[in-house]
Amino acid sequence: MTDRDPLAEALTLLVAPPLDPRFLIDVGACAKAELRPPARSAPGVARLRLAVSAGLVPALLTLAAVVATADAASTIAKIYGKAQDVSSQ
Amino acid sequence: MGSGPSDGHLVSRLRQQQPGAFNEVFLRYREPIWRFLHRLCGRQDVAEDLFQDTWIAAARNAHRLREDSQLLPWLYTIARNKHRNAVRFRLLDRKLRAGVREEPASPAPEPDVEMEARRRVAGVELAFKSLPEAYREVLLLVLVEGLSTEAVAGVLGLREDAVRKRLSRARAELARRLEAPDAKGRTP
Repeated sequence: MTDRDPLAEALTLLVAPPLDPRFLIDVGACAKAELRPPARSAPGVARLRLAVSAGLVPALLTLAAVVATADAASTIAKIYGKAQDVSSQ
Repeated sequence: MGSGPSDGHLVSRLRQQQPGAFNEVFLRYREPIWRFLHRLCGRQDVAEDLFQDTWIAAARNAHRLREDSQLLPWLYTIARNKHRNAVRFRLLDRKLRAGVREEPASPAPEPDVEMEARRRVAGVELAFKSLPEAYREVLLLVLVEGLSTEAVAGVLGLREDAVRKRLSRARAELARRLEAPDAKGRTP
């Protein structure tokens, strides 16, 4: 805006006093202390560890389930197989 | 703006909570934020509290900045909200009322020119302080700080046409009060 604006000029008369430099330093320090610690970028090893541990747990659970199912199946097969032998005689 | 990293670059670094970026932002924008707060509330002690609260809130929320955020309007938004909260809790109003009576007239005799200038400033102060808060905000942001209506709309949470209407009403009201016989500082 190139035109003179008397209202804007009037408002510029409301001068804010300069801030005390010590106060500024305090405010800056206080505020900076409120910054959260910077997020560390996950390095390759940490990422690998995370991937392994994230994959390992379901893998172990699946293995346990498979083993348990196989055990149960073989037990049933033994019993069923014997029962079949008996009925066929 | 001056030398140094661009605002966009600072926003990226602030999002990562880099203290160096925060320092840059503080150095770059502490003056306009201070002026805005001081003019808005008109009291040194209250403005100092709000100034500190503003920068603490900025640091706490820096990680929430969007990549396309504009720094200065964002800071004005925080400062304005801090001021609104203070008014809401009625702390500021009490201090302001006390402050109007506290301000002593200059005891020493002054030359006419200086006295006239002081009277004019006092008149503007009086007229401005007596405006509703919503009018003071929009006048400061547009007329003094030079923000676009788009940016002010973001700061105030309004649509642009609403900002323009409010600005128009605020200008008319300020002009009326500056013309009023109470506003001793008006120019002849």
